[in-house]
Formats: sequence, C-alpha cells, structure tokens
Amino acid sequence: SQLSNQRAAMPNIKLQSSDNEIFEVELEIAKQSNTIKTMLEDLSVSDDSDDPVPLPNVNAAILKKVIAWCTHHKDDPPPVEEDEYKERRTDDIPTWDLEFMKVDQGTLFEIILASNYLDIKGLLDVACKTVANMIKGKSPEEIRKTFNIKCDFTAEELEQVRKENEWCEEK
Amino acid sequence: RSAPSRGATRQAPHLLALPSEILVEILRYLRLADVPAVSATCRHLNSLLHGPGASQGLWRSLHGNGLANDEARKVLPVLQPVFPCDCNVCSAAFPGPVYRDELRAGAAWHRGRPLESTLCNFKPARYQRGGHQRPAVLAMPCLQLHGNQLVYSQENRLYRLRLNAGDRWQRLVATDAYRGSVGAADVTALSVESPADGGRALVGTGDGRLLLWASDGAGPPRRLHGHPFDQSAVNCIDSCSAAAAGFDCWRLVLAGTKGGSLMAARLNGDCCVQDSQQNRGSWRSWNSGDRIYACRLAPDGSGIALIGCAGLTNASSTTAGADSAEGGGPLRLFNVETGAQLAAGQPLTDTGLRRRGSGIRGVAFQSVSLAVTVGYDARVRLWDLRMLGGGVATERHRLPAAVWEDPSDCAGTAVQADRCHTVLVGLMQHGLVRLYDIRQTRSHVRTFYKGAHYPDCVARLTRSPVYSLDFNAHCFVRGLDSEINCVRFA
Repeated sequence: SQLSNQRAAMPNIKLQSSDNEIFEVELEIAKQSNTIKTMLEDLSVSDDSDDPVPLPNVNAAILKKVIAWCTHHKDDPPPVEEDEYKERRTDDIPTWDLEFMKVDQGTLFEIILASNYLDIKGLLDVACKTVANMIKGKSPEEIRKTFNIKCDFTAEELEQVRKENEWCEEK
Repeated sequence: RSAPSRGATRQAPHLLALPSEILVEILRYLRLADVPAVSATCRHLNSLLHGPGASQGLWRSLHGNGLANDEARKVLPVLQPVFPCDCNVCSAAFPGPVYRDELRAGAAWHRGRPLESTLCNFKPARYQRGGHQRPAVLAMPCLQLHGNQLVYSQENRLYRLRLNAGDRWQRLVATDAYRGSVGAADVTALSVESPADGGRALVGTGDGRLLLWASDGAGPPRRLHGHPFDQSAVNCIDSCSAAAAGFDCWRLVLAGTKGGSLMAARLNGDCCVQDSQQNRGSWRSWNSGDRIYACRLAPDGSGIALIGCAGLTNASSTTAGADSAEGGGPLRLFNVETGAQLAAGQPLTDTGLRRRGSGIRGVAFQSVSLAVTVGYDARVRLWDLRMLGGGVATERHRLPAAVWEDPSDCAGTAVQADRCHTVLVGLMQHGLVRLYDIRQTRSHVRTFYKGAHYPDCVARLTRSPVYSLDFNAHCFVRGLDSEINCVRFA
C-alpha cells in the first residue's frame, strides 16, 4: 500500500530516554526537535546507523508524550519567527492539543522542560499557553492553590505589593 | 539505574522550579490586568515582574496583549522622552524596567487619582482693596519646571521651589535664588535655562524691558544690552541652546511684545553678541503688525520660530518691507537667523472659512516638525511644519494636520507638549487643564479641574484662566490668578 511505501522511504532513527528505553521514530518527526536536528547534522549520523541518540534529560514517559505530539504535528508548517509586538493569545490552542495537555501538573512541567531541552517551539508554546490559562483571571490565593505555592510575603509586604500594582488594574 | 542527576527531577516538578526564562515566557501570555495577582503570589514571581533584571519584552507583551490592534501595540506609551526626568522624585518612584515605568507613568496620567496642592497663594493688595474693580494689570504668574525645580514669577519678583523627596515643595530662600526685582513693572514672560546650563532666567516685563537674572543670588537682574523697546508688555519669551545647531554662542533668545515687535538675539555668557559691523548689539527685530501672544523656538536650535498672533490683521493688508514681516495670519513660521517668514498657517474653521479674531494664545513644539497651537477659537491644532513652509502655495495645504474641538467651547490660553504624544492645554475658565494624546483623533483624554480634589471642593473653585502651565513625568503645575497649583498622581 501507499502507507507502507512511505514508511519504507522514511528512514527511522532511534532515541534513547534517560531511563534507557529506546524509541524508534521517523526521522522527519524527530527533526521537529531542533536539538535532535542539530545533533544529527553535527554528528553526521548516517541513516543506516543503528546507534540510538541519547537524550539524558528526558524520561521514557515524557518522551512518549513528546513523540506523540510531534507525530500529530508532523505536517505543520515550520514555526515563524514571532514579531516582538504581536499579540500573544492563549485562546487559540487546537482541540487536539487541549486534549493532549489534559495531564497532571508534574507531567505538564516535564513536557515544558523536555520541549525546551529538545527545542520544539510549537510544543513549548502550547504548554506555556496552557500554564498561562491556569493563571489568567485568578486571585493570588487561587494561583497559590493551583500551583501549590507557599506565600513567602509578610502581611506588610503583601500590602506594599498590592499598592504598587494598583495602576495595572483596568478601569 | 538512573543517573544521580535524575534524582531531583524524579519528583514532580513545581512551577517555581522551572527556569526563569520559561516562567517569563509563560508570563508573556498574560495581560496587564493579571499583574497584581501574579506579583502578590510569591517573591519569586514578583521579582520576575518587578525585579531589577525584569524583562522589557515581558512588559511590552503584557501591555500589548490587552490592546485592540497591532497599530496600537507598536506605539509606545505616553510621556516617553521626558521620562524619567532627572529629579529625585522620578528616581525614587520609577526604579524598575524602563518600559514598565513608562506604562506606569502613562497610567497615572490617564487614570491615576490627581492630588492637588497649592504651592503659593497671592493676591495683590490693589486687587483686594479695589473690590470688584479690576487692576490695570493683573499679576499673571509665569512658571517653568526643570526636573525637580520650579521657577515662577509673582509680580516683579522671581521665586524658586525645589521638590523634596517626600513630595513636598521647599521654597529656596532669596539668597539662594533670584535676588531683587525687575522694578516698576511686573514680570510678564519667563524663560529659564535648565539647572545644568546655569539656571539663568530671561524675563520680559510689562513695560517692554528684557532682563537676565542669575540664579545664584548674585544680584538683581540686569537689562539686556540694546534690545528694541516699544514700551508695550513683553508677552512671550523663549530661548534655546544654539549649540545643537553648531553656533558658538550659548543661547538664542526670542521675544514678542503686545505692540507687535518681534526681537531676537544671540547671547554669549551674560551679554549679547556684538555685531562688528554695527555698533549696537546683534538684536534683530521685526514689526509683525499684530499683537504677539506666543513665540517658541524650535528645539533643535536651528532658529526656526513659531509666532502666535492675535489675528487682528489679515493676509491681504500686509505692508511689505525690510523690517516688517510679510503675510498675516495668526500663526507664523519664522527664521530668526535670516528674518525670512516661511509660512503663515491660517487657522481655518471647519468649513474652510477664515474666522476673524481667531488669535493664537499658545504655541508648543511637539518635535522639530510638529507644533501644537491653542487660541480663542477653542480648537487645539496640530501643525505639520513641513507642510506649512517652502513652496506649498495654496491655502488648502496650510490646514492643520489635526484639530481637536474643546468640548465646552472654552478658549485655550496655554499649551505644553512632551515631544512625544502628550499635550497639556490650559483653558480660559475655571483653571481647567485638558490632556490630549496626539495619536487619538477623537477628543481629549482627560480633564483636570481645579479644586475638585480638595475636601472643601466648592470653596476652592476658581474662575481664573490658566495663565501658565508646565509638566514633567509625574506632575503638572498651573499658574492661576491667585495661586500656583500643582497636581501629581496617587
């Protein structure tokens, strides 16, 4: 079939997670990560090489998630360099990504760290937007509760901070 | 089995454990309105927003995400170039990232609660005793702000105030400031050098004299040598450092009188530059044939000047001659180096008809090529001087670039601009001051009433025009008929 033809044409590479699990991925999918792309170019790893690319900062569970995201987004246009003045929206996350990001906070932060390490801009943006949405419109107390943050201000400092930020409130 | 370094990340990572640059990346999706809650959460998030290393780009995004369109995002907030000024108040109030502080100063001007204070009260004795009889000449205060210093005139004397760190104005004693008086007539026009240049004051008097005043208490003011004298009140005076234009003198001086004389000279030190060809000083003078209310020199020291006149003559009845300025019209663009009148912008009514008596009371340069005028016809006009000058002949091209109508049809008496977007206009009644943003085409941004922010509000209302006006990043000062009034923001 056409699919198997495509598969045959696509070279695969092996990725090794921090806990030594090996994942076999299409080269095109793996190359969404600029880190892997650079590694392959710099090390001039040939296609038929069987040595896995070691990723010591990403564990198997997270790497699996990352590969799943990259597989779904393999036909996306390459990300454009963002204009400094462009509005940063958080309400434009695709439905599939919204579902994908329905994970516990620990996993979400690990995805952020992994996508930052692997330099996958699209995934990092979506994950950051997801966290930003968890902050938006909340009170300080709600933010602390959401992220399990301990308030390390004294009462006077808190009052001071409140006063200093009054001007930001929309009227 | 796993590497030792994995130990730390094995437990679920925490939001605050993310690297700062990623946290900033997350915060860049928020809006200005989210800032109070986020910074009140904990020290770490607060320092990312307000700490010394806080990112300019972060604040740009926080500001931009709340705005309606890309055009609005590209323009900087108000007050940009005057900000922060070098006074002690600014350095104490605005220590953080520049972009945030610009936003903050802009927010204060747009939405902040104004706090009024009276810097000094005066009521000439003759004014009080006369009851409803008005004195021949009202003592109209002139004033100018330089950083944390305010210089103002009261009758025939000059005073200096310094703003202290606690937001209090301290009057400098006479030996420390301008000593003596200008004599029989009142000060009617004032132009003060920045303290860095020596803080000398140029004043014009009600009987037509021009004097120079040392700021260090060295003595009474000295009359400028050999200036033209038509015995009518000096209505306006301006000076600017000519160094920027490459002249080897320190100051270009321009003054206009009620009698219609316009005079200009170069000052070197305390004296006028002597003209070697003639025996008198290098004063040049022109008869405008009209009452001059306002004059300003271009900020670049090029000698281009804008003159605002009463509009008593009209363009057709001008007397051409070596000494007289050609062309009428209330607004005139002038080159004081050559004496050539470059253009006469006519304030036109909206239907294109010329109004009689549409005189100009105040002129301010917004930039080298943009100027703002106010006058009796209750319009604020923005002029593009490139359109006025040169070979553009038809009157259609001499229209202002923008016109704002005063909502209560109140004439403008004073105007100041910040060389960016902000224009402050003082009006003829009730000590009103209006804030305009030249990016906005609709109307003024805000009105500052006099006395509205005192507890005993009614008692403090005034009918006075705003005679003089100046502002910096955190306050403005207006000169009224019986007090100098300062407004800053909470």
